[in-house]
Amino acid sequence: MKIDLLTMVEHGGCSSKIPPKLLEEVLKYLPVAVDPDILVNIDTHDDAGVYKINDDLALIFTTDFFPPVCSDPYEFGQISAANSISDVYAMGGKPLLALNIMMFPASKLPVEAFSQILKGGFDKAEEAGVKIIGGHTIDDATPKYGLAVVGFINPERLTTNAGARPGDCLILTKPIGAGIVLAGHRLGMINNTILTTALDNMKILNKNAAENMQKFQVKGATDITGFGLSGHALKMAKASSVSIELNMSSVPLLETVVRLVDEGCIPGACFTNLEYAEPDISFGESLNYNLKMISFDAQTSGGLLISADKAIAETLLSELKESGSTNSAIIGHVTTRREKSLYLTE
Amino acid sequence: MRIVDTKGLKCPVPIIETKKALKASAAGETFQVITDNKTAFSNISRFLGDNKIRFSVIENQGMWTFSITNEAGSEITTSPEEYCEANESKSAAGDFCVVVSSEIMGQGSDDLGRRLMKSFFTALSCLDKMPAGIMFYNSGVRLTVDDSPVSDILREIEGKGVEILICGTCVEFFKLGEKIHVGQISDMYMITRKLSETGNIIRP
Repeated sequence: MKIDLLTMVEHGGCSSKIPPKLLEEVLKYLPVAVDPDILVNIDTHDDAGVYKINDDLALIFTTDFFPPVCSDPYEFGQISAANSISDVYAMGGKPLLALNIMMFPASKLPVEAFSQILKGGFDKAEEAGVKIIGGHTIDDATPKYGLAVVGFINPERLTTNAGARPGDCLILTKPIGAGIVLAGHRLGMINNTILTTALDNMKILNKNAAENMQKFQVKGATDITGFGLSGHALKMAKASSVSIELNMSSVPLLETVVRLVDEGCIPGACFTNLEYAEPDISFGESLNYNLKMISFDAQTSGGLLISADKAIAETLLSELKESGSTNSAIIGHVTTRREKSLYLTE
Repeated sequence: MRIVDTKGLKCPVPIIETKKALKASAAGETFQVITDNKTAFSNISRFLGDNKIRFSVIENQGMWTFSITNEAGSEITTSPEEYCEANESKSAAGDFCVVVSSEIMGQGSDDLGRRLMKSFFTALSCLDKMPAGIMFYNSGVRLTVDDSPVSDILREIEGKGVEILICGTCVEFFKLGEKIHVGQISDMYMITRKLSETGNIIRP
């Protein structure tokens, strides 16, 4: 029997996130944990929590899981694991241990699908040097998979979304548009080559990006996932008390994304993300509508957005490209806080 | 008339179909898009609004019918000249909304009240700062019909980028649907949301 995970879900990947507005409402009423050794908590909407053990060691702790983004169970496992581990890389850290989180419809899918998802996750974790040492599975109508990951870092070397400084250049390490390509695939608007490129892009670990940014002692970074490029850039600008200008025409895009959006293939998540973020964004008069919407596309296992000092940005970029992050590009810069947090230009 | 029925279809299909119809329609042609999905309704509204495409929408028992006019040049364009023009005519938006719940301004004489309302809109159109939005409900919606004494002024204000929201239930109640070609026929949710986002409210 050919297993097709996509028949079981309406939205896959990070576009299945709860709408940000709703999440904010709910979290508002939860007390925030207080401890002087908590270096990063929920306040700055960062990628992971960070806890200082001693002056040389901090733990990075994160989890992510979601419904299938693709038909093949093994590929889904790889992508979801890469996405979960990415939060550790976004903080500049080295991932170490992980636990599987799985929801699986035992009565609807053959057990082979179950083991293939786990195998995909295991292989991707191994590539990252992560040991999976346990997990938990629940019987549920739609399959969902992800990891809870622990990583570590020297607290001095932490990269956070609060670390962007005026004068920095912004480097994006993977092309965007994955959510749009997946929507186009569901509607039969793209061929398999395009889909394969998009899925392969999601499987790439942000390991290389993280190692390069550590080499250059970068302070500010985040990974691009469910809130889209604009959403995550906005969170970074706010957490860093700066403004960010993104030059949309220099943002690397997956193939056919512009055509898909021009034909109206704009996933619902784009609109949700736009609505949430737009009060804090200035849209350039000449900004093309398609590029604007692409900037809100929810990414699954997207690249890192690195805020690097202008003096080293070009060197970092060429080293990123040489070491494997070939699609990396400088896509904008950081200024002191202006009227809006984020400026999108063409 | 071209009718695009997207009932039962979820995003982004309704937007893809709307876009197809826009491309297929002749300049000046009006067509309808029907959806029964709240998210699709809101996303199509955003899509059309952001692309400055003229439309009105009527809700009836969980079904939204868009009337969309493909004006010459309303197709998405990136021509810088047009953006410059739009930029010039766009006025600064103030942190206030205008709520019009009656076609008459003040109490005493209805005849005087109608004249005052016209003066009010004339004065409003001359302000340095435009309101963030103007909402019409109850008999206020009568001011938005084509032969209303303020229809020209409303069009001028709308041309400055002011969002005009007209209560759909009220339009249906007074049976004015055919006569309104300014603003957006909207629902109480949109009106309430817009009001909740504004700092000050003016009620003439």
